[in-house]
Amino acid sequence: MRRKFSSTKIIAAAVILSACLAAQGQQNHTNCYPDPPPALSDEVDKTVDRILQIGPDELLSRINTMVSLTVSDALGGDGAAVARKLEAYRYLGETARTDKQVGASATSSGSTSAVDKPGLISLLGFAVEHGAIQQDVSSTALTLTTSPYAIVALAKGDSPQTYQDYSLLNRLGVSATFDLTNQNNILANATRKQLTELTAKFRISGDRSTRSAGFQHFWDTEIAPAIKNRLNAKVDLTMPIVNDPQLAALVDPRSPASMAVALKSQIKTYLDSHKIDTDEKKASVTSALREMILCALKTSVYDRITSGTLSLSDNTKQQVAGALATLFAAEAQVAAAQVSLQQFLKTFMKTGNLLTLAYTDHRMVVSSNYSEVQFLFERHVAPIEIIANAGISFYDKPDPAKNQQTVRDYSGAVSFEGSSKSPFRSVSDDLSKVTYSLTARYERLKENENMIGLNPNVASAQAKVEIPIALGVSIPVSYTYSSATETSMKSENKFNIGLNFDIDKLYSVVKPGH
Amino acid sequence: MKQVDTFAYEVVPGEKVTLVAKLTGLPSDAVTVSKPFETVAGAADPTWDFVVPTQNATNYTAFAEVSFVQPAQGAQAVISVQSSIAGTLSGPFQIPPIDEASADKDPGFTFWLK
Repeated sequence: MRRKFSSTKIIAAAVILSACLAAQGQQNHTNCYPDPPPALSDEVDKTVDRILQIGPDELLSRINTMVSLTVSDALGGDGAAVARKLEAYRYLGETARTDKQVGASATSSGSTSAVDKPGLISLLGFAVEHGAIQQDVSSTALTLTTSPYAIVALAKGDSPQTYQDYSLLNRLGVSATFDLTNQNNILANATRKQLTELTAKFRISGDRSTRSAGFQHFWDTEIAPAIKNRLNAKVDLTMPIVNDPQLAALVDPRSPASMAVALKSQIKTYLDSHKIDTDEKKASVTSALREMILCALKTSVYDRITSGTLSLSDNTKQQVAGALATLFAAEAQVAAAQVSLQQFLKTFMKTGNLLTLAYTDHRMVVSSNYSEVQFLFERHVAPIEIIANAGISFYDKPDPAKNQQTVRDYSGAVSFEGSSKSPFRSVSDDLSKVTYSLTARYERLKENENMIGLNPNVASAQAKVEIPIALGVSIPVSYTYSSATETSMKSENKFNIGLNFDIDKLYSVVKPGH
Repeated sequence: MKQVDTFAYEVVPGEKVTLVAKLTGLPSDAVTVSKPFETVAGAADPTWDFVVPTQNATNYTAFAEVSFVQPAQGAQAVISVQSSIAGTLSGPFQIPPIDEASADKDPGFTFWLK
């Protein structure tokens, strides 16, 4: 084993060790840059987070920006005032998330019965794990959904090129629902025997995804220019740093006097000797790294400028101050774009007509199997959503003894749905709304024609309101009037009241780190 | 081009520097790139390039920002840097993938003159 150390290495190790100890000692006290501008503080936080995610190399991604903000702060005057006015930057999209996007697609086990059961489970498990198939499990049913596009994307990668090349496949979605009998191995329920419903949907018109031409046009004209202006302003802010001989020496990794290289080495040494296996340790390391970076900026940049050890040219000072003003304006533009994006998404997700053709194969246990073809139409007419369905169903093997013909029924339904802010919102994360709907439905049951005691015409109307009363808890109340039922001529009045628990919603708010 | 660090490269005048974004589950314009880069039209993957001037060249900085607006599951961007000069190619040098959980979604690059 080699035990020989050069004196240079020993000195370097001692310097690094003392710096680490200093940083560690300071983590619970006031740091050496106690009041950094908020934007600088944000840059440091992002750098530390990314270093913890990836490694110390990430320091150099943001070092120029951190130095430029420190320079601005040190120079004082209008530049420093602007630097302190800059706020933490929020990336577009972070505040624009609406409801989780419902992906389409997936072939189910029911349609691939030739595959033996264990193999099928492996295949399904792989596809579920890789996002090609989505599974939804209720207390009594397992539903698997996918699209041919999801399968192609699994093989070729979900790149913009793949999306463009196979856009037609993205219009098609299939799902299969199975009776849930095995709670221990969910995917083991995906057998032909337990298949209860197989559905294929084809989107004829309307695309409300963020990859649609409509969204892309909005993005390219309204949002992308704002992002680009901000990035260009960051270039203007950092170019003086990398081109001023004294400042460049601090950030140039090739320079022997590089603060960036020394700091990166210091961070690496610290991380090598500190395991992050608990939240407490992570918080401690985060704090220590933050201190290291801020201390380096304070001592190598801020203090040297204010003391006059590092004298910058007037040109550099003017460039930094000018770029800061531009960056400030650009960030205001991005903030406006954030609002615009949120507003656009709100309406875009409801814009235009959505027309879908759906085919469903119903597998019945006690009655005859039948297939249903439906046109599903949706249109938003502020402030409500209009949903209309028209369909026809066919028996696979009509039973003459039950007066069944090939055509089972014709049906049509129209629903008006709306929502309003809930008066019972308990926490800011809870975006639950009071939802209300009015639905009318008509069905002509062919097998009830000319049958005593049965009415082929079944009309019904329903009024429903669902009121969230607490986070993840709501009370649905509905009243339904039916002129008859499928098995009786008598009219029927139903009043239902229930209690719904949304476990996902509850978890989303109480989950660790939220 | 010589890679000095993940985000720092050494370049010479006349060298064409190219950024390429390999996207998964994101639309093609999810990545925005600053000056001095310009979009390269018609490339299979979103691509940007710039040529280091042969006169009055300086050191250069550039930024790329990845936006995640309702991304697909597993969405990510992998940005790589490459260059060419007089038929000699360098790279691609890949930076770590950026996904929705990444703290830094607008990495900065520095191109130092040799």
